[in-house]
Amino acid sequence: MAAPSPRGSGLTERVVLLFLVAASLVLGWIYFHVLPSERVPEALVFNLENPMLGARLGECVQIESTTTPGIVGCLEVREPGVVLRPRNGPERLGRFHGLRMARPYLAAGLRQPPPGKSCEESGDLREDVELFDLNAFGMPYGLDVTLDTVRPLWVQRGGRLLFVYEVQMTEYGAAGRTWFLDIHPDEPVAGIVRRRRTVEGGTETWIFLPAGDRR
Amino acid sequence: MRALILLLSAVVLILAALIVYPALAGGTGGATASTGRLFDATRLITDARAGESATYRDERGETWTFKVEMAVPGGPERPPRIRIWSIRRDRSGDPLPGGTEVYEHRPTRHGLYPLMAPADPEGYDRVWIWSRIRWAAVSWQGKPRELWRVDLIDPALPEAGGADHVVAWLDESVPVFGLVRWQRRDRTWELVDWSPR
Repeated sequence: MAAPSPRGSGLTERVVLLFLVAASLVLGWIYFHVLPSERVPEALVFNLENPMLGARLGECVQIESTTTPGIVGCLEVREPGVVLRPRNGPERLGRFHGLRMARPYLAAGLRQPPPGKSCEESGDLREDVELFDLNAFGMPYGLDVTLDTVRPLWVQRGGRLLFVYEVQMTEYGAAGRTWFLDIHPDEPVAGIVRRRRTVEGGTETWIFLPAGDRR
Repeated sequence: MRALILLLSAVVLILAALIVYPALAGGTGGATASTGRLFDATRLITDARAGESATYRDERGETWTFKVEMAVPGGPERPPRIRIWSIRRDRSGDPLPGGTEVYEHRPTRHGLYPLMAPADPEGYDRVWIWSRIRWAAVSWQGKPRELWRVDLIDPALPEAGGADHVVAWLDESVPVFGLVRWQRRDRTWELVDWSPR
């Protein structure tokens, strides 16, 4: 058998070398640039502060439901804000009355801006009062709910991983369903990132996005 | 040249393994991954059963007993209701005047902690408000333990100087409210006796 010519061998080695350099670059790019954005960070200590206790007047979030895409709501903390001692607060707010005997709450206003308008541009629109029970992790006031569980969780949001606490609540009544709320103490108003509830045949989801501060 | 080829081959193999292995192990790529301890509130007052009790003692030697007289578990259309009987006794074991109360604890309205105004069960502004929940180290019965520490606000107490601050330590295995210890104002109540859960 004839020995391979040194010229042919050298060409093969160069091709292999080029292939390996290219493969190293591609794999290195995947490992150092692509994967870190998907890699789940290490566990954090369970240390959850009640986001509603830090709510400030004028804080605003934009809410969008997956069942009605394009229809946006603006939820803004309004007077009297956080009410720890309802007996000293107002007797009536919007459709809520008898509030001096209510559980401690956070008061907010919900507006619906016209299409194309942002929450900042809709400050003069009529608003409906919404209340949040300070013990109910961002659930609307007036529902019969109990807390089931709270667990820390990493979720994908806007292409990055966000640390949240996933709260599971049970709602009693004719609907009798389960709610999931992703909350974070640094998020404005009630601290909600995402709210989901089971409905017949699936899940209804609301996404909450910070929408600035008007004060 | 051959040494360089060998070196680059090793680099390619190592990078490929680093990329593939975590994916096979399920460590990357998922939208969510649980990362911590579960605070299971369903194992506190919500699942209390008739007959279980917990007794606490403070620094003065007074005791405070909570007993579940009756429990109606929740269903899809009906929230749970727990009838709580409580008695406070002085250090010699005699009942304190006005220290015996019976009320129906409704977790949907009264929350997870004892109602400090059981004589006024409709006084919902008397419920404690949670301000922080964490898993923390504590010394209990002379041993270091890790328990749920919940910091709370008691709206019945004055705000000035943080006098309204309550600290509760919880363990799901403890009967009635799951309370191991709570500090309210200048008193600390420690679990000293309980009947099974």
